[in-house]
Amino acid sequence: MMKRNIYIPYAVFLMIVLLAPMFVKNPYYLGVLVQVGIFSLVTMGLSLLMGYAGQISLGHAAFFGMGAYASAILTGTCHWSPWLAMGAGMLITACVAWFVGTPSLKLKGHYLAMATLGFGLIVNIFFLAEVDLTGGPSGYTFARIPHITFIKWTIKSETSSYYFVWGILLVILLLTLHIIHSRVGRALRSIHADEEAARAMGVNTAQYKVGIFILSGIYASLAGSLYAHYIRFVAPDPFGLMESVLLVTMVIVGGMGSIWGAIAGAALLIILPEALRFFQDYNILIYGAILLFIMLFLPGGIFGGSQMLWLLIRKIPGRRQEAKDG
Amino acid sequence: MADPILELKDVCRFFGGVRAVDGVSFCVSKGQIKSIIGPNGAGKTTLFNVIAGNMKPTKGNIRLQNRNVTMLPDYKMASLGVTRTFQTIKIFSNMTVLENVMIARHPRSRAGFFSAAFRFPWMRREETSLIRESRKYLEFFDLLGKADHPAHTLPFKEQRLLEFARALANEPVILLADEPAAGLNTRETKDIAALIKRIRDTGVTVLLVEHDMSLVMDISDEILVLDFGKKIAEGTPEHIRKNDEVIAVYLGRRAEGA
Repeated sequence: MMKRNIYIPYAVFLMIVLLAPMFVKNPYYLGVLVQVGIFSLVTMGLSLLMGYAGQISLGHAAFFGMGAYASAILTGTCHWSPWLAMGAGMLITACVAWFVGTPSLKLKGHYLAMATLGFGLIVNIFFLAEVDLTGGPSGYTFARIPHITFIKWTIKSETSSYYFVWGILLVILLLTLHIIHSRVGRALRSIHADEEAARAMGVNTAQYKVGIFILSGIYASLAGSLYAHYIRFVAPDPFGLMESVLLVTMVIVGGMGSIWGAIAGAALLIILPEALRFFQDYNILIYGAILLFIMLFLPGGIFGGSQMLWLLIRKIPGRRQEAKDG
Repeated sequence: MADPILELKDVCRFFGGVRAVDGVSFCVSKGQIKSIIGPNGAGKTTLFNVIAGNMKPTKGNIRLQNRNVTMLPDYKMASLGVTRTFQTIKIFSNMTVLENVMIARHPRSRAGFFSAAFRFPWMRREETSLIRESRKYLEFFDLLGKADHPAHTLPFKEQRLLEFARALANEPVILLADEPAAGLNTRETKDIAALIKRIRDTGVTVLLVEHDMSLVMDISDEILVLDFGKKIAEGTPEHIRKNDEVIAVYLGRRAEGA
């Protein structure tokens, strides 16, 4: 895994992202892709937490929401610069993630799921109940959330939003790939495989678990800020329990243990409902059937499945030879 | 005793009313192979867990190279040079053979989230030297040919070897080996015996828990016998072989009444 060059798939992906708007001219479809980018940012962090470190979070929509509300309130009510608000949102989220993660990551499996689920609910109730701050159930309506400006461009049109969001995603993706293929990435995977053995090798597992929880929270918060400036309206609804479950589903369907899977999962689960609109009343049925099919026949998710296919095409004996030479 | 690496003084570990380890004191000298034996439930594994920092002792004192390490957690013990192998093999099945060994270099490298994300030049150099060092350990155990194989595809015995390679790559001062011959046949056990001697010859002190008596008698410099959490004998293999209380424990209690 170390030897395989991580930059080749990255370069291919970069080309696809840059060229996509040439083929997707319809602003509505571009908007869908912007959402894919925003959600990919969240699932990438969640994939680090779930697929690499083997910890679960059913409260990640809360971090997403914290970023969105921080951006909305700080730019709308306090008239901060969007960039400053974005940074503040990430900082607040990091602190909350540290505060919540330190005790709850001592739990394992179902108990950790319950703890993070509880955390998500509390944050959602906060969004609903702090009417003076957040606007309550009807959303943040005190001021219009401004457009973000990048150097001299105002990110307003779908095309500029697309390049802005995916540009940020590409940078974060590169940093994430670096982290995965490093001492830190190995430490995270060792925790996933066997925590006791990891500690016996000198890995401070508690610290790494909290660290990756904070990092994935920061990713979600950043995505939330981008969401707030893109949609320009925030309400508690998209940051609830169902959204947390949807995020986890994206990671699993895409394929755990791969950052590319996280992007594939986000893309599928956002594009699929749009594509299935055509079936009207039956769209939920077909949506469910597709997810069921993936989970039954591609237990490694979309990405794991495509990897298996690739191995079949290239034939396994050839690969063995390669491993010997290496 | 000259040059003690590890010193235990009156170490106890109770689980409620159960005295799993009850006032055990002993020393391990540098370059020794010392074995802990005893019937099932004698507290051997608990003692190991206490030394390795997986459990805190209820009472007592543990010193490593004249430093008090009684209350340190397991990952700190590992970075101070107390490395263990497990009774049931615990390799990292989601990684390659090489990466398994690289993990053991964790306490001796320092790249964090930030430096990893931005790939600073020193971090790349560290990574390259990590790979080089780790391959050296694989070579010592004849596993270099399989460096890029997923670790879980190795046969059982090679997984044991990998566990040892990983433990040595941690550069231990003292290696705690928990039943290294468990699940191996006679010939493989002999190989392990030779291997443990080779490890000792590289300057690593070895503390061993083992059920296989022929292995223990063959390679140990000193043996410690535990029964119901208490030390009942300590000495050279010849000494232990002749000890009446040890014979009584292993062959039955009647000898005591007689």
